[in-house]
Amino acid sequence: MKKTVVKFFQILAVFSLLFLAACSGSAIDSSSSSGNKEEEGDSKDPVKLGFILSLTGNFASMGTPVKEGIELFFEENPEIDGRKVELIFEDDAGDPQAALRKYEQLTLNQGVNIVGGGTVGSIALALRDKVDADKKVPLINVVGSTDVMSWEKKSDYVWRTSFSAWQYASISGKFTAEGVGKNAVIIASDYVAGHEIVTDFIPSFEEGGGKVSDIVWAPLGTSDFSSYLTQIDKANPEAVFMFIPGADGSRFIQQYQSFGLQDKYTLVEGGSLLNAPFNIKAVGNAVVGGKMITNYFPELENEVNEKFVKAYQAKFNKIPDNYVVNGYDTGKLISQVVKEAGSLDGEKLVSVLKKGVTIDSPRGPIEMDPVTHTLIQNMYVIEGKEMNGEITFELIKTYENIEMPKENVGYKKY
Amino acid sequence: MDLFIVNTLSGLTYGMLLFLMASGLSIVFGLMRIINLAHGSFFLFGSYVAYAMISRGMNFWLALLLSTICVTVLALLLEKFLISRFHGNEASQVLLTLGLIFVIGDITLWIWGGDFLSIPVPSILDFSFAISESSFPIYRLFVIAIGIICAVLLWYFETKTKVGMIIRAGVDDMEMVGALGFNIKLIFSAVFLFGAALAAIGGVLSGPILGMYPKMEFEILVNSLVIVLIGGLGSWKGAFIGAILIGIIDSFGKIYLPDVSVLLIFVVMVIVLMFKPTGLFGRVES
Repeated sequence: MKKTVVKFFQILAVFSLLFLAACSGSAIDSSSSSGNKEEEGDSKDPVKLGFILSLTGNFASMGTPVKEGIELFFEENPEIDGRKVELIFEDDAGDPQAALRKYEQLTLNQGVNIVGGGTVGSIALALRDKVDADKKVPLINVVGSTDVMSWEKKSDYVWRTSFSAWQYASISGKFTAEGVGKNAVIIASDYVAGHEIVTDFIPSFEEGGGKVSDIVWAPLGTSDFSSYLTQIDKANPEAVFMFIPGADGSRFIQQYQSFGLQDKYTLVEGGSLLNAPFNIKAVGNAVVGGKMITNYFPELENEVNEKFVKAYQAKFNKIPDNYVVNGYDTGKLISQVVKEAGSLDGEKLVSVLKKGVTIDSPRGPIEMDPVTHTLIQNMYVIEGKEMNGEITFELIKTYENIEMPKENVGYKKY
Repeated sequence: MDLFIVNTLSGLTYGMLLFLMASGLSIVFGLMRIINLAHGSFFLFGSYVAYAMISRGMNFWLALLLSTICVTVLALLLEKFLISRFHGNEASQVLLTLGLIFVIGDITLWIWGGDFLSIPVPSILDFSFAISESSFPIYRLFVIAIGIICAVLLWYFETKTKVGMIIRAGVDDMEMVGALGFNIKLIFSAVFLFGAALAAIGGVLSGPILGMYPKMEFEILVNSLVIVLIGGLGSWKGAFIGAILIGIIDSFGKIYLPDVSVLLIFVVMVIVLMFKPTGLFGRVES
């Protein structure tokens, strides 16, 4: 009898240990230690920041750099206004449902003050609905670019440190008409973001006098683009506007070169792909001559950026991409807002954001637009060049302070 | 007209890559009754190994040879220590090889990371030729040529050599072949390795065209299984015809029926199987 009881307790103990391990194991705590110990007596509460990012799975190539950017910023600035910063990273693996669970965990169990996340549009929208219903902690949307977040789906508690599809696509359209040619073919990935980009591209391109002669939709996961390339070739345009993110895009650029289209038609890219380090590594000089619309590139000349690139390279030994900057600026924005609010109360934080916040970003000065909750930022056009076997990017045009329209412009949907 | 030619050639290129992959799959199945799902991993592993060598400055052709050998060695180990233990037990084989896909996939992810990678086209083939107003990369023609050469070699091997004869007999009745004094285990291993080598060659050749990234093995595996079904289980000739068919349909489907292009190859598969349930070159089991 005694033995069975002991055994039972042993099993129970093992189970509870396992349970505890499972609970704590899912959170990757990396609370940054503040340098001096005297702070301990300070009465100010620490800031708890929870981030729900896609750190594994399909979108890890976007979520991981965001995390790196956030870590870098808070390593440089371990305290906000005398408060210690505690960072908690959670992985949603690209799944909106998982992201919602992690959100509950962060707000209920961990009691975080601000949440960051939304590596892809679907997750950003799912989190947005939840945060808007709760009205407890503000959400900083780190990547999700869907336009409705600035319009119908705007929430007092949701703010975006990345960019919107409209900002990229309308500038792409404008630049293509002004700087490349009036006759263009569009090739885009056949999914939500692809359709949104095309919807925003066409009106601004047509406004500049351009005409789209063909739109090619490539399914996600297309490996051989040769049929599409002959279709583009047949249309004989001046410009080819592409929006094909990820590995598909790299393959497209490479095949675009091998079919001899690189020398015939100017490639305009609207998805921050051309200068992505992984893409350059994969396709090399196939990006030469291609033009890209972006809100950031590492060669950008300003003081903040020089320091940022150096610090990032020292810590991670690679070149930062756009997503790292999104993460870095998220940290910067949060720290500024907390400082100005002087409190960790959700309502007070939101009221600071509503007044409009300006920060010095590696991408140049940016301002949080109190109306659209999206950054007012510069858009850059850069071109791929090859010098001594090295691929570099040269700034060819800057569109300053691009602001989202205040309300849905109601373009015809493609 | 030039559009037609370019698309036909593109379809053939894709078809030949699939043929190199599917023929091994089909032969191994015909002889050993093994559905080796890990065949796709051989394809991908071959291109990753070649990438590793070429990015360190090795010559493309040498890398092609060495990575084929590497994959063959890998296949030998898997066959000897794992797959051979499950002869005749199909459910276990499917589970085993499915598991191997994940294991090999994670190993490649661990070594080479999750980024998209590609192998540069060997400089000797790095130019295009013009077809009236369009241009077509010479490398792709080379891939078509390799595919056809492999098909011819397979034909010669199967019909004109003694080994081919044994294998043909083995497809019909393996036990009888064993009873006649041939070493069945050796034949099994040899055929398995040969199939893996073909997949590896396909993988390396596809490096400059399709590139590689994690989970690509599934993409290529699904298309190959469709080809094996269309062509008939166990027939490399069926795989050859099936691969060309799928390549061409994929290429033209994207242009003329873009909305359903992803579905199209499955529609073709269903139609073929409706009229010939054993596939184009499959035999009716007695």
